[in-house]
Amino acid sequence: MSYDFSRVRVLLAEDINMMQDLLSFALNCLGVKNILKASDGKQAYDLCVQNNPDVIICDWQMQPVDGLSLVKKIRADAGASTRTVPIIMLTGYASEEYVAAARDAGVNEFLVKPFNAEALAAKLSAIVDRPRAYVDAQHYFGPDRRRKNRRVYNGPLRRDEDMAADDQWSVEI
Amino acid sequence: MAKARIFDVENKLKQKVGGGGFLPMSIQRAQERIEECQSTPKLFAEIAEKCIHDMRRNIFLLEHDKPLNMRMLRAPILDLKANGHMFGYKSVTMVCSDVLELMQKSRDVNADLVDLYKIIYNTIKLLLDGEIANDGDAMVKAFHHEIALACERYKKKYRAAG
Repeated sequence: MSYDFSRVRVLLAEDINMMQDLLSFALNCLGVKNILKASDGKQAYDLCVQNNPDVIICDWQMQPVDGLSLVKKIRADAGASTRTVPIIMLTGYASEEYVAAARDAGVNEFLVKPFNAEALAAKLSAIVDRPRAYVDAQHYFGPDRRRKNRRVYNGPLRRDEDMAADDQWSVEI
Repeated sequence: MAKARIFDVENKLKQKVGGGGFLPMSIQRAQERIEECQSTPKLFAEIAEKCIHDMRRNIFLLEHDKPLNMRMLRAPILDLKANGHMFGYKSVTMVCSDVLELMQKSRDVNADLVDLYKIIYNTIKLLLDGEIANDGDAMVKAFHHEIALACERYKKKYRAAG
């Protein structure tokens, strides 16, 4: 048994035609049949709202509206069903500041150019098989930025509910 | 202060695609398509034109004392570096790498950096216009060597200046 991507709708936002074609070819080979194409963040946002894609792959560097702005706009859409759509950011920017900016905008996965088919497949597999919980906070909406799931916590308990649980415990004793 | 809410989202993608991963054959076919593009350097022209245009605009702005930050200066070189390698212009990636490393460490746009930027612009333009043969050519190696030396001189000067 293997993945069947034939029913998956992918929105591809890339302003360079050649790169758009290259990605489409590669996605076709991985079984994706339904690809929506946009050449900038604005067009991609409109297509996203109209078509409710299952995955978005967007380039960072697009004009006039870039990929980062697109991600921020999608994540800021309170109440929209597209708000939690998985987003893979495609970029040549691999330095720490760029990765942090993409992460803080709400990107799920980061694919650095030059990439190969294996890397593309790995990012798609990650969003299928290892989805992260979402965080809705005052200044952030998007996938949980902590990659490691530390279930055992040995530090001090400072939350209100921790205190309540502590009180309960005391009463029971 | 409002508390953060952490919640799981229904994995609709998993429901659609099922399990089992990608077939190695599919990945191999995808890789072949990517490599087809990579072995056709002329396909890189569209990307390169856009980057060269942005670099020319940046040089114009610098020469006319318009404000320009390091991120704007870096953007076309980053694009050239990433896409050059993808489309068979490894020499472009090679030339961009040194300058990029230096630019990522520099905070200010100074006259020496602008000169370096112009050298890169001219070299890449020559490469793309075919006046310098592509990958592996002795001339490309010589240019790359010169640019690497210029970067070293820059680093030494500004390290010395503190």
